[in-house]
Amino acid sequence: MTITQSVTKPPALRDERLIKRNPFQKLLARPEVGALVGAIVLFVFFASVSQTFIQPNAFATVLYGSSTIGIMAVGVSLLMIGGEFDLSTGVAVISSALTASMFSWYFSMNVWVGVVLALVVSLGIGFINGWILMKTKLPSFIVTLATFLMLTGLNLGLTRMIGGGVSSPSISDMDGYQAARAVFASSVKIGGVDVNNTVFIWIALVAVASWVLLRTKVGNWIFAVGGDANAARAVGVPVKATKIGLFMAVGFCGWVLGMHNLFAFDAVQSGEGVGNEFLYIIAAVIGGCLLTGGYGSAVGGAIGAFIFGMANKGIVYAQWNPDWFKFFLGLMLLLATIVNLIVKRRADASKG
Amino acid sequence: MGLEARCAGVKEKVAGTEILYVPGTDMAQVSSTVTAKLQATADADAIIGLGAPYTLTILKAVTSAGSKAKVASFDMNAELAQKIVDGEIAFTVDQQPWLQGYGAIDALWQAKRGGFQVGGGQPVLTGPSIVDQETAPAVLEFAKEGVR
Repeated sequence: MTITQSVTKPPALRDERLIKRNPFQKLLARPEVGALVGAIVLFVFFASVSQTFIQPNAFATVLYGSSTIGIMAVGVSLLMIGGEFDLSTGVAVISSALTASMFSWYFSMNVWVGVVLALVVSLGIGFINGWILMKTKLPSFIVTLATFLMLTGLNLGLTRMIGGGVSSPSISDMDGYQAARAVFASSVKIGGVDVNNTVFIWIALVAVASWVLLRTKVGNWIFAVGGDANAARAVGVPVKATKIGLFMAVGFCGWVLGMHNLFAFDAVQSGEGVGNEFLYIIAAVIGGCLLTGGYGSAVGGAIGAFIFGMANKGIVYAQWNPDWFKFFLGLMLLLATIVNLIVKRRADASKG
Repeated sequence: MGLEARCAGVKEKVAGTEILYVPGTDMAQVSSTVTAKLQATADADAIIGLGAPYTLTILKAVTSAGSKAKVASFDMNAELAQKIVDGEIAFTVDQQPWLQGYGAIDALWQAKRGGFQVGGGQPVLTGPSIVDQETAPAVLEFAKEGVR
């Protein structure tokens, strides 16, 4: 006797997460697509108003200008995806540069000793930011505003106490300077054009950050703690470690840029960096990172920085009246963000 | 305000002057913006920085951009004085801030001591002093002490 069993297939109801979407739709759903469209529009615009803008050496300058914002935007993007802000980034860059410079100068040591110490200090600033945040549960806005003010004071106070002036003494004649300059502030000739090596450091950082975000467990943690910290904790994500780690990642980026500033210009003004924290946040936001966390990408932050760099330098190449510089800059940032928003909404609508 | 006055003064004497704004809190942006301006204005023959640290950055940008523009400055620090001695920077307009402080306190002290009036109640000029390659070596020593 045989038993026949009929299996009734459920109606064609598949898990919506498994639905295949066409590649174009997939692209449109990426966080950075709005910024990409904005960047292309801005590029075409400046290319049409200025002949200099599209020349290779001008493009290298735009990339350099973008890279010094972009290096920091990598860390800041990750942090914002993780749901936090850091207002101390602008001055923390200078703290790092001053540490390396003043320490090596005061003790007449090889500059690499200062460079390593600066890395420790930068990571330390990030750690303290994250640790206070997790201990006190205060908003990161308040915590990092406090560290911003304290670092601004420390930058000036310590610089004057140790060096006697408001800027660090020039370290261009010290041991290890040339090697450190080659690492942090040199340029590479590509097709007859000098490209600053910060551009390559920037690209490398973006690649590493994208890989961490999209291909590793830590990346999932970052999205989780930014989306909903309590839910993340409930499923076993180490929220504390992830957030503190993110602040330290920002610290690392600050160290890289700080070392560039030091070795590109030999001396550092203690009052530098104030206000730059907003540029990094702007770059991340233009690039599609949500202010509320849980959404965004490292590539987006990079495109945001590139948009900023193009707007910033494009106005110079276009020879516009500099009195209006800030206005044009603001207008362009607004337009870029609006384009970003429209594309994003369209993409979201077509997804459903 | 003071910086605007400096630009206006330069523009009054050299009508073709163009003003370039740079963010004073970010040397890397100063450098890249100056490079951009030099690429856009290939025929620029001189560029004047409004502060010693900025002029030193401008000088680097001019060199790396391969521009022929001469560099001059306002204000003073030891590195800038050295560059003037070396002939890399043409001149600087030094406001002599140390003298401004010293002269003011000295005038007060003399007034208290014996009722002295420096300058007969009129403003006493403490500068500016134009430092070029000829006068720079004498200035350099004091610039290193932070007095000039």
